[in-house]
Amino acid sequence: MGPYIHSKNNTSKMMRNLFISLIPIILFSFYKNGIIPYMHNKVSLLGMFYPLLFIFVGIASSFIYELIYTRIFMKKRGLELKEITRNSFSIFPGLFVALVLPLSTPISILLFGTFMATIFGKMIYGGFGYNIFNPALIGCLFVLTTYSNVIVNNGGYFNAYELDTISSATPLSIVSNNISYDILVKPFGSLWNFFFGFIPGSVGEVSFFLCLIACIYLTITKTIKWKIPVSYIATVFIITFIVGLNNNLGIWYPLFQIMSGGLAFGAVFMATDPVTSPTTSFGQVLYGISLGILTLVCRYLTPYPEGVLTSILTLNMFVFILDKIGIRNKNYIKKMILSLIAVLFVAISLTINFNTKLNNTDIDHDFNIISKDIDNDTITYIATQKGFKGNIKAKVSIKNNKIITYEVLECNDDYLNVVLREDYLEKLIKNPKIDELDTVSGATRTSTALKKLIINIKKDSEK
Amino acid sequence: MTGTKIDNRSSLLLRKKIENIDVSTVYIPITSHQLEIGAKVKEGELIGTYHDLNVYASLSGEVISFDKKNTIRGEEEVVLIKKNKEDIIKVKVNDNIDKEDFVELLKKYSIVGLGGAGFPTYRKYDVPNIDTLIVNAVECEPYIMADYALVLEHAKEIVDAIYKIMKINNIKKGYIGIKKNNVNVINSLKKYIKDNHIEISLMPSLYPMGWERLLIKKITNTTYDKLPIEKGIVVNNISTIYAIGRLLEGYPLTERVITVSGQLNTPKSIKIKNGTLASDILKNLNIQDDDYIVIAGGPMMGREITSDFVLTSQVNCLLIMSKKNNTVLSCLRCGKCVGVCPVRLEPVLIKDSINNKETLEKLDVNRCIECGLCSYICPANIPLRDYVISAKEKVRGD
Repeated sequence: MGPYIHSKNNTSKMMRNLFISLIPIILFSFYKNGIIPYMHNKVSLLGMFYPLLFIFVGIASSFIYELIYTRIFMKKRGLELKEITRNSFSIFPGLFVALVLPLSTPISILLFGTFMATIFGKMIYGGFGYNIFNPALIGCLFVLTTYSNVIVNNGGYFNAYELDTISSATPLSIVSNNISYDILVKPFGSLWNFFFGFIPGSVGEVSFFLCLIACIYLTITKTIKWKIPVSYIATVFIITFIVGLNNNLGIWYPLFQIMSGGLAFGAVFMATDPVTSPTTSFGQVLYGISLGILTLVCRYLTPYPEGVLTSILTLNMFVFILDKIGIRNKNYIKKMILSLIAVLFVAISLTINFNTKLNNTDIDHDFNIISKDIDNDTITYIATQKGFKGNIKAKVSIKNNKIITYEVLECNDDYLNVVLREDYLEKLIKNPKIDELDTVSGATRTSTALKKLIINIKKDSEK
Repeated sequence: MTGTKIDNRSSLLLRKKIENIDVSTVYIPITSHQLEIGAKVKEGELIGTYHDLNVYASLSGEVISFDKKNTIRGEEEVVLIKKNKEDIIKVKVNDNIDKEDFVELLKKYSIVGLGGAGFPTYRKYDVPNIDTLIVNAVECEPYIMADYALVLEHAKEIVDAIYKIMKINNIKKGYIGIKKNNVNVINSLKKYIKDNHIEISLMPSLYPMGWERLLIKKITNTTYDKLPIEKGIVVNNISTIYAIGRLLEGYPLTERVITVSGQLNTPKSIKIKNGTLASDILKNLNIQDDDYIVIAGGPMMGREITSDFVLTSQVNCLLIMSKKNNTVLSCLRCGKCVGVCPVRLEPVLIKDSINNKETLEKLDVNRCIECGLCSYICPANIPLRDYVISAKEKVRGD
């Protein structure tokens, strides 16, 4: 039965192409994390080859774990052990775990990660082709949630050379009220550093350029679903471009966003994992766009790292639905339009939210200083802060960054007496860690306003 | 609706002429007749019926026995006629034949589509208004060159036939759809086209470009619901057109050109009589099929046969291919089957829901034209077409 000719592509060839596309990334990691530190005498000769050893441990461990699991649990299938291992491509979960984790991960933890990736990310579902979640990301999730402090203590995302030369946090973890090129990009050189990959990060995720050529190679050889990385990166670029535009940041800002945080690596290698991504064309586009949105939600609205990892694992759960939307039956056009409208709506609302987050960090527009009297080292402010029903006017005197008096002069909020009953003003005066002080339940807005007033006054007094 | 570039092997044949294969016996499928053993028949003589089609002897000789043989439609009753002379009963055709007589003629002499489907041609012409005639010379399956070989040797008769058909049926415009890289064939046709009532439409070398719906969309940019005649279009394979032309000259349809190819060193175009046994062809060409499988039809849509198989006019190719044992691996959900399907189905999702009739109905499995591209492209060698065919049975059946 069936056609008596077959196209030349087969699964082994595709896996081979995937591995070939990773070779430049592996070699670059060897150069950046091994050769360069060695040339600057930061590591020994063994340390120079350590990146290669690290990656090799990843590959070998997942291969061995899968071999043992297959031996024990999958014998009943009646298949030749050799055939199963040859067709299961078991090196990939381990290889990707090694590339996504930072080099300072201790080997024992790497082995834990590849174990979780291979066994709980892939094998328990039935092996190749049956898993729902990206195996490598499952492994990394376990490692990063359990052992992130160990990794940070070991050097975090900085290699031996970068520890001495770069004096800032990793690009995306820079928390600042002022976002500018000087703060986000300059500590690492220029945008070209981001493009080629000479920035701190994990073993394989840093080079945008190498991920780009890998994507082109894999698309030409028809190995990956190219619509996913294109829609993913385009979505991130467009949204961050709009955010940047509204904050008068140049084109460097969206470029910075797409070239950091392992986005390119995640988009090209993790999101396109064939088993865990949609099979329909429109499903893939929707997947990429949703990934872009979710990654930015993680970056802008949460303090948690690993936005790319979280988004991909979350969306893996919805691949089934995305494929249902992508079925080309008579409702296809309707489904496309409805889902695009839904996604666009979410994207626009979030973009507006991201904007206000970016803006509010610096100037509080609800705060106004009416008068400021300086007498020796005591400053007396009369200021207003927007409360629940209009402005609250208060008189605060502050000395050496400590509040001496706090008097409410005018307030239209009905629940002010609730706040005062709780001795809230005393608490605000006494508590040095104002940010952590809870608001008064039942009068949240009013107590928040009173809190913000103090914070803003303190900020002003520091200037 | 698009086609895909697939591995196409056929240019070798074009330099060789069509050979005649001499067989001594033909095996003609028949369902009702009044023949007796020993009866003498002539080529072109009406000998019975096959369901509701008239059956004509394809050799002049003697009825020697009745048997059961495998044809493209399954196991059938056949009558064996052994050749003992060369003779033919010609058909009387009026010079100024009108449309009604034309349809009658096609019906009486059982002209069927020679592209492979075998649809009775008269039914396509038995309609009042035909605006466009599209001649399908695309022949999109790899290895098959029967139409091309025929055109190279009979271009004049074919173009004349097209003009005649258009005149009889009052058809305003004719197109010949042909792959753009078949330069020889295109030039041989162009020589005889006198005006722009017939236009050559160059088609890309994709599969399944010869599929009726895709061909019509590409040439005239129209779509239809069930039959092309809804938009006033009739599509005929170019070998069928040649057969109609021959019929108008008085010769009944008793033979056709087929390709014998595959993994042979010397592929050929041969002319065979209706009802030729496959093993006679292989013996005649000195082909031993020990380590090979024999396929009737093309490599994508053809069927494996035993050499104990009788070729009727629907079969346009015999392929000799080596046996392949491709292990089936797990589906890696790459989505290539979804990207390649010309009717925009999702074979991987059909495979997943093969036991769920409701989901299969939502997936609209009856659109499948069984072209085989999904099985062709699958990197894991999953027999996807078989899944889709089984899904179709499930949806239609219970």
